[in-house]
Amino acid sequence: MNPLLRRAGVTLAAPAMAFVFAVVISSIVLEISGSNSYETYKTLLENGSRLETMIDTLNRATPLYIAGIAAAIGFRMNLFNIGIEGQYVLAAFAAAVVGSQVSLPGPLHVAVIVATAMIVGGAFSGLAALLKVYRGVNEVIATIMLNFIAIGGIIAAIFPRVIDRSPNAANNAGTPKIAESGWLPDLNWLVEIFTRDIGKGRELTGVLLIAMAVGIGFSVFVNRTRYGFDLRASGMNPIAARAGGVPPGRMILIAMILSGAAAGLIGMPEILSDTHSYDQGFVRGLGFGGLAVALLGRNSAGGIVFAALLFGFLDSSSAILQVSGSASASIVVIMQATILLAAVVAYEVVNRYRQRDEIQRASTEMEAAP
Amino acid sequence: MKRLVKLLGLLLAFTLVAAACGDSDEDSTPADAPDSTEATESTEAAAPASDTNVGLTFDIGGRGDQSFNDSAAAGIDKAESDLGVSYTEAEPNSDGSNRAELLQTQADVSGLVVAVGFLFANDVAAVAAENPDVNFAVIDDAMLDFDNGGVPRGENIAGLTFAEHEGSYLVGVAAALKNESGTLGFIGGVSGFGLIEKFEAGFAAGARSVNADIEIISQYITEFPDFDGFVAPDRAQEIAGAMFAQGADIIYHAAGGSGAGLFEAAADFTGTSGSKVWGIGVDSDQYNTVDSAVQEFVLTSMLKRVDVAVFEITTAHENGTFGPGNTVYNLAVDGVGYSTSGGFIDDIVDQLEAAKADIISGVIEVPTEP
Amino acid sequence: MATVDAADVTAGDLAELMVGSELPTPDTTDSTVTDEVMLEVANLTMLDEAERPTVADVSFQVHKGEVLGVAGIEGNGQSELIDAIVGTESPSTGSVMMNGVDVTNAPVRDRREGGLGYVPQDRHEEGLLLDAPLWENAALGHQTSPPFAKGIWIDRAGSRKRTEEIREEFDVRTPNIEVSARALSGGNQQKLIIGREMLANPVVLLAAHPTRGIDVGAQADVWNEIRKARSEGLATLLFSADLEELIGLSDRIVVMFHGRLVATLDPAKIDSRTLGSYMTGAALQDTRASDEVVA
Repeated sequence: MNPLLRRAGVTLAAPAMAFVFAVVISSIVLEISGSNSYETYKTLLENGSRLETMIDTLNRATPLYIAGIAAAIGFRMNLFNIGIEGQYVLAAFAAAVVGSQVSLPGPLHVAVIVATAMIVGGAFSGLAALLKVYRGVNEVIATIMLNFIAIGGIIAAIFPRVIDRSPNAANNAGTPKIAESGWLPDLNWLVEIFTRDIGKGRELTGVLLIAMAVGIGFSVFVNRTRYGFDLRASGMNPIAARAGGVPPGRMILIAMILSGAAAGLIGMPEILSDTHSYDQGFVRGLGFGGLAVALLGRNSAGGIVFAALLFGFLDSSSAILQVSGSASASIVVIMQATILLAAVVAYEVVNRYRQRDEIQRASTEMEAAP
Repeated sequence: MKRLVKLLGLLLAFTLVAAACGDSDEDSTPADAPDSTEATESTEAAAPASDTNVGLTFDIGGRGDQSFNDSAAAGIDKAESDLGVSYTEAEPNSDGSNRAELLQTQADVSGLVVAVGFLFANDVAAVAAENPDVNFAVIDDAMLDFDNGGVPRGENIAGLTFAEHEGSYLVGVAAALKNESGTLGFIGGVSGFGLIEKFEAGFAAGARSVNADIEIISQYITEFPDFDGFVAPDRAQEIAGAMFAQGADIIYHAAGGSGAGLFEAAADFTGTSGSKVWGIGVDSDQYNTVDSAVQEFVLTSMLKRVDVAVFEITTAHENGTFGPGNTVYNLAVDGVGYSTSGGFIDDIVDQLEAAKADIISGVIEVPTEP
Repeated sequence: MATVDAADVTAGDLAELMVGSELPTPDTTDSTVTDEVMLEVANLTMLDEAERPTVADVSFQVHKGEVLGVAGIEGNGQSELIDAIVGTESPSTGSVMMNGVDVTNAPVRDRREGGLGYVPQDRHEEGLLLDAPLWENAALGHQTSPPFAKGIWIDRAGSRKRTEEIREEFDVRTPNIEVSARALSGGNQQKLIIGREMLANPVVLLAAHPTRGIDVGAQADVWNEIRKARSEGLATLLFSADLEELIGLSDRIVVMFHGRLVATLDPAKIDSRTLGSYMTGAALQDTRASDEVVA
């Protein structure tokens, strides 16, 4: 068989297996919980084909994608940056505070907010890297600890001082709203070139473009640069990488700081496109969502696009499933968990098959050779 | 690879727990649209027919929280049987990322959308603007635009708030009348965002109206933005134990789920010291929600009638009298009050009713800040 | 096909039959050793975690065109010595000079870029990225230099071309260079490593057990490559547990015992048994024996 075709087939086998498995399990769960699985899928698909749902999906997938990339940078080096959560919440908070304090012309204002988020995110994960490199503290423990420090410590200490005390702030207290020069324009115009007007006040976040840039940047960095090679080598075999001249401490620092800088961007859709402030409704938990998306997307920029869109679609289907009475909100979580589990098992199975297949072909080659 | 498997196990456990929690909520309240339609039909004979659908949109947790959300659910259940409306329920994703989508989806099928919780405020303002034919109501936010002199944030938006300080005043009167030691206690869940201070202010004013020299020990569990103070019964128990030891014999809590610890502490202290001490509940009639073992320590509860608010706004919508702006549910409309379950304050009801009448008539003005 | 009587055949004859050519033997080849010192280790001491010396005051030189063999029973400080020369561990005292430059505390990368070739003792653990394609494995250790890199970028075309060269010249049997290193047999994996180190034109080669666990044919290939490079001026430090290999390839042999270099021997004057007795420390009591063979 043509090696390219063969490889494509093997690569597609895993997602296909995972998909079938996930649909079967989800159907069983739906039927047991008293829902009609056929109706549920029908509702999902009908709703999913609406333009507004697609916008919702993209808006949800955007921060998930960035979170996935942030996780993947760590995973590629076998670093488990569980601190993405704390890094992005702290970064968004800092960006909201800085953004509300400065007054600058449009693009510059946005740039300052984005830079603040990346610097804070990178610096905060850099702390965990320093602890690992110089004190041998496992990054999982360090970043979990830093999550608490970020949210329960730093933000808790500073937030009361920067709350918007104007009467309009109401009960959902937050940082003062960023001036309009610090808002990122939405992308509705871009979508509307190709299709009808987007209804119901949906705005496609401009951060989507930032997410694309992050994805492309990640892919180029990891696959095309020497540093990316060093990063992957360290992830695959740290001892061989070290003997091959890769400085382990410096690579940990670089990987963690890049991961944190990317994590800093996760909160940008809310800060730049949605609420323009950090308030009590600020969405938490995307850091963990990012770990799941990175796993599902096999730590590749393209795979994570698919994973983030899938999770984003399921998340944005939660509303219609509940309101139409098709299923409860928890079915979305169950589907996501099932897909993730199925995918990882399928990848493992396919990977074993591919290894066996390669070894077999290599030894055939040997016998055939003179 | 080992690390990957470990991570996967973690994520799976995580999602399964999340799903399991969601499930148990769901079991207690099957709320499919087909069911509710059927229910409407079956009660048609008894109740006036209505083709109105109410989109009841909970905050995270949904039905089954034995507090805020359940109280709202009780209100809609009453509206269903008394007014003949149907309703659809929805709750956000666990990270609260899809509030706006939920509201929009509800608006698509409803004449009235009720959002339970102030975190919905900004999303309601945005979605209401896109759906001028649908009425919206937000619990716990005034929904007024103070930048423009306090006009409603939309012609189709009502803000339903509660005069918690008035209800707290009455339980303060009750506490002072029952007090023997000369000392009372107040435990707040989370300080710094203005809401819980209202409870403290009303309670203190009520107590001092009976005994101007009474000492009130006040403590908050956490400081905004750390909201753990609402879900930390162990810490509430610790604080209450210390307050009892300092001589307080009645403690009022405004700390949500942490309150359970107060009643445990009251039982413990009474058991070891031999002198009876009390706790006062909040939001719902906690005599009916606490463990039966500590029921006898619930002197009374300050009631916040979310169910009344939900029922009233639905009635107003049905009668065509829905008005935008803030409606305060105070003593005059029985939006707040006190409970007499257990019969521990039956002997002072006359004094409480007198104080209530004075507040309603304006003779007493209850402060909102301590 | 040759048929032989099992009773009449020696291990060497059998190997020759299998390989189809003559094996390297202790019979000395023309010396290519020069006076130019390429690698100099001086008074090197390494300590373990408990501060006990694993390498004690070791000094030696390897010259251009010379193969210096290091004999010793495993666990006598060889791994630690290798670590100090490659740069993955720093010595507590002493120095390492490579090509006239003091690299005692230099990072691994500087040494590799300065011309240190390294064939690790455990190719799976230290030499390969088993899940990466062959062309990426060919870059490992040289990923900062042409043809594998162009500035900060990986030169994919250059890497693939070089990998094809390795495949060709070192007879790496593989369906293509896109398969993962895991797919290759041990011998082919080892030839890939030898090829990548040789084609990078090293000035010093550190080869640890270069033929361990590979078949006889591949073994002869590896030996030939080392001899060829030696004749072209490569300074080689050869660690091996295969005494025939040490004697056959080396210009001099040093013996490591309890972290020290206890003897310097002329391979032309010894056989495996003598060498073995030095390695176990037995020959050290017998000074007359050592006088005969010391280089």
